[in-house]
Amino acid sequence: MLRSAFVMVAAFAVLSLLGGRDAVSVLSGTVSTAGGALLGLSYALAWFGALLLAPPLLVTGLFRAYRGSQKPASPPTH
Amino acid sequence: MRSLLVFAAALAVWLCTLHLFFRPDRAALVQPLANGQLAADHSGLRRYNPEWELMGRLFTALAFANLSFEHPEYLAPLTRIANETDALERQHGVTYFLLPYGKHATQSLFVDGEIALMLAARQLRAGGDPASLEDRVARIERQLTASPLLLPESYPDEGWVFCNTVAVAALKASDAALGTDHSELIARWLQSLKLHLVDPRTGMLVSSFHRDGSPRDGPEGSTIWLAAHMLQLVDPQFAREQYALARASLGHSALGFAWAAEWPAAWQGGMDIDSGPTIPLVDANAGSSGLALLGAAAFEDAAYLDGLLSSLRLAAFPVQRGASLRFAAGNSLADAVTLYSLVQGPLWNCIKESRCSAPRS
Repeated sequence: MLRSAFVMVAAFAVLSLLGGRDAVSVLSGTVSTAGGALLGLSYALAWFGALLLAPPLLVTGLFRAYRGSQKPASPPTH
Repeated sequence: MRSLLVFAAALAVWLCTLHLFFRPDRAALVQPLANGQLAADHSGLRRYNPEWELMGRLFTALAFANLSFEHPEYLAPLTRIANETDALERQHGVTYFLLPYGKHATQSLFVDGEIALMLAARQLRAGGDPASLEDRVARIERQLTASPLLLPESYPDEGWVFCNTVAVAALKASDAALGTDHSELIARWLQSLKLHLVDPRTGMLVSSFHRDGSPRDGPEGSTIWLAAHMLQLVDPQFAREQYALARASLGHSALGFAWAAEWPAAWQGGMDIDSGPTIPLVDANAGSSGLALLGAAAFEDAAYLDGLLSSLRLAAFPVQRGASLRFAAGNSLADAVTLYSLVQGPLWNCIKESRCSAPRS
């Protein structure tokens, strides 16, 4: 869960650095290159993934980590 | 299983509170958007659609006219864009702002109506030589009276309610600017519009029609919101009814966000170049949602307007560069519509109440 959240945020950050935000004009039909269109669509998907899913995934991952830390250690075997 | 429940609960809480992070501050959007429009080059839209260039110019001019009531520094750019647009059409001809399939057109209510409304706004706010406005008004009069149903076309055998309402709003605005009176002609046009172009299933105006008045398409979001706003100048009651019908059948909202569909459920049409794509499941259409901003603002539907602006901030990718703001998912036409939606009001009020303070010559 935590890893998924970080991957989403990292993908969004990378696409932002590549200039994906400007390329989302593909959504209004005003991008002239196929590469630009692909970048814009990828950026839009990454934005919605990071915005909508990453926070609940993060919360769930933290919950699981907390639960894991509360489990009693297994008794040593001899 | 427990993780799944936690995820579902976290997702539900997050989706219900998300709108709080995208709440609009309407006033804070105006100046950055206006700065963007002052620097915008609408001619760049020509390679995608020449109509978009003319519409971008119109909405920018109308926005500047409204802003000029409080900020006279917008009078110069208003005058420049109106005069430049008029000159471009005179230099290149009526097809300059039409799509290629209109290459044989000799006249277009779309072109004359939009340029006339720009010139009327300039005349009302900044004055100047009224000759070009008078000429555009005469062209509209000729097209209206030559049409068998008083409903002229934008392309051969292709009329649009969008263009008709803009042209009649231009007549009304020019009356205020020039002291003329087109009330009798406008009354006859309204009668024909209601008789021939109201869809009996929905009660809404259709979007496009043939020369004989038969519909080419049904009611359409990217037409009806704008048409209702234009009708405010000539028939406020009918305008409000059209807005209410559009709001009921095209407007959607959930979780603090709002959007608009392009087609009512009773009449499902296809995608066209103006309306753009529709997001399935939620039935959100970019063109309709953009112009719904104008409808919501013009009819003071504050809750719907704030929901639409929240959606815009969430899904249209605002880009702030220096003092300018634009929305990356759109183009300069969409930004012009957004700006005009946020500042509309003063110009329409001055026309309706005949209290425009600008010189008449």
